[in-house]
Amino acid sequence: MTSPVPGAALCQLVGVKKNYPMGDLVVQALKGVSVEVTAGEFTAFAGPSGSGKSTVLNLIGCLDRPSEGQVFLEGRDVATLSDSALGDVRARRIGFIFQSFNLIPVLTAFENVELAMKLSGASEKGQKERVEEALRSVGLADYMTRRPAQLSGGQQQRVAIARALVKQPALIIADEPTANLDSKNGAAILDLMRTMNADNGTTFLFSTHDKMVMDRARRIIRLSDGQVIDDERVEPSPTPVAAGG
Amino acid sequence: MRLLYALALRNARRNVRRSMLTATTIMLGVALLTCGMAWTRGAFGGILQKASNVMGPVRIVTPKFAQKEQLFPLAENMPEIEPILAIARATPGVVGAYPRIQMPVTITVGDDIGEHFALVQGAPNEWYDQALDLSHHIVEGRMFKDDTEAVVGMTAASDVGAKLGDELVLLGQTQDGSISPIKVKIAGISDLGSGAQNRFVYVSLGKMQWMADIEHGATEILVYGATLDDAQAIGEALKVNPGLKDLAIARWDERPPFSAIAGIIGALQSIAAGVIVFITALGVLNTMLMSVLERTAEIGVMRAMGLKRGATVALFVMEAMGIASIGGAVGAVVGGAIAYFVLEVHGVNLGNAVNKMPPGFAIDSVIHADWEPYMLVQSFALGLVMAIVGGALPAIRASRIQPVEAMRSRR
Repeated sequence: MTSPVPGAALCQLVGVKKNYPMGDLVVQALKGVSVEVTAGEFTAFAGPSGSGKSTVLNLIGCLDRPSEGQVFLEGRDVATLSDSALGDVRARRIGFIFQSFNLIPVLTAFENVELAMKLSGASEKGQKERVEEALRSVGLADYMTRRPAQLSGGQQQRVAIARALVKQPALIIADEPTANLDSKNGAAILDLMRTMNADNGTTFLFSTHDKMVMDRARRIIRLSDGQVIDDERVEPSPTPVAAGG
Repeated sequence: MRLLYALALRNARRNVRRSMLTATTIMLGVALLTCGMAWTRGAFGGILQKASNVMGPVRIVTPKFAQKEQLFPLAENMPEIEPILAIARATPGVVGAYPRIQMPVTITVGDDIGEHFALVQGAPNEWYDQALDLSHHIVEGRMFKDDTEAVVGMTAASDVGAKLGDELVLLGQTQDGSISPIKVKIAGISDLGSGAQNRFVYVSLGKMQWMADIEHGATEILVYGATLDDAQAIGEALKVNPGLKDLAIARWDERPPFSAIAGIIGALQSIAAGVIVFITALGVLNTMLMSVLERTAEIGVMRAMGLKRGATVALFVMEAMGIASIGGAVGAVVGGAIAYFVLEVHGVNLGNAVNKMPPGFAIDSVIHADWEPYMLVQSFALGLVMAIVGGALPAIRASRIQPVEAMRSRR
């Protein structure tokens, strides 16, 4: 696996449009978005509901294809890749963190992280240690054998972060990661991700309308009605001390 | 793979009530299959074995007799049977060859012309022993000793009110069509378990030759091997024997009605098994589809993480097979127990319905299943087939879930 060079273009959207058929109507979710994200960014796509921020992340995350325009990930046009190849890209190069955590309820914290590791096709050797290390790094060393239902919301989101991180992806896409957390847990999770970004250079892209996320982001791309209306690079506010999960 | 397998098994335990319902559906299907297999094997196996014994595994007749045999054409007989019997007995695999004459008669006790019809059969005593085991089926009296005596089926005896020691008048015909009455004393009354066979009157070959006026001949020669499976080789050997080139030789399953029935039985068994598998699979399909619908977001997440379509299908099929393993094992044991203790040991009484079957198509009134251990394995395997058939469609549906649906759901 190659690590992206910090500052190099990781993904690029060029004149991207995305239409969704809704019965007889066609809803235009994106109306020509052009954005470039470089490796190591900690960027938030902000905007109200329906602005298109989740659609942008779906396209960057190889979960969807554009109706028009091009999406490049690490120099490859994702529209030209087969479903199977897109699956491989997702498994190896992209980590996902969802608003609802979306852990597999019948698997333990360890197994949830292990599953992502196995799906990435990583070598069997040292897998157990890497999974343990990922869970330790998010502060869950003592909760590895618990199932999601036995964990708090904050702890579940930490498992989701460990699951995204364990395969050492080039990019982590977090879809409103704090939406289902209280402010204390939300802040702790964001600080954890900031630390990962700073320590490992992992690129994080968020979709959010949470001020707490925007306060920590170094770049905020604002969308409205499927268009980029502002692209602002900001100096982050001082990091609050992370609270427990 | 280990993790996927563990995930599939844990998913099976997720909604215990639903999984129990699926397992119960499979259990019932497998139990039904086991009982069905044992019962049809017992019923048809018994019928075929008995029928082939009575009809002769291989039979030698004249070609014209074969064409008109339902009319009992006595004129189409083999006038000299000794050379034919010698050839048959010298054929490899043959353990016995016996001449036989059958004809329809009216029967009565006393001197009046009877109104009741029966079939009279004349053959050597060895044939009665080997093919019919007649002496063991005599419920009153004993086997006939000479040409003056007969054994009468209990239905025929009951029809005319005949008792042991009574003189029975049989009114038949000779090979040229002349009326031919004979009088025999009833030495025994038999019960061969089927209404059709209990309408027979059994006499010696000599008595029948005299009655039909076929002094040294017979209408049929029945040839037996050690087992029914030997009929194939014996039949082939006899057909190519130059000494029998003018005669018609046929295995039991080449002759009507069994030529058609043997094929139909196999087809019916397959169709019945197919219907049971299909109906059970529908039950599995229903519950597995509900599981897929409930887990759309979860499947989407796994697909987003790179789970391939094939692995998604395998995940659901493994879950269905996990449930089927439990349901199938219980079903095979329950079905095996019912098949053995109820259907085989106790049997199922078909009552008087079987008495209406045509002569020669001998069916016992009480049908006993014939359960074999291999049926446990076979029905269990079919239980897994039910799971694969029922689980395949939901699994394919799951594999088509687009990962983006994970992002959209539960917002």
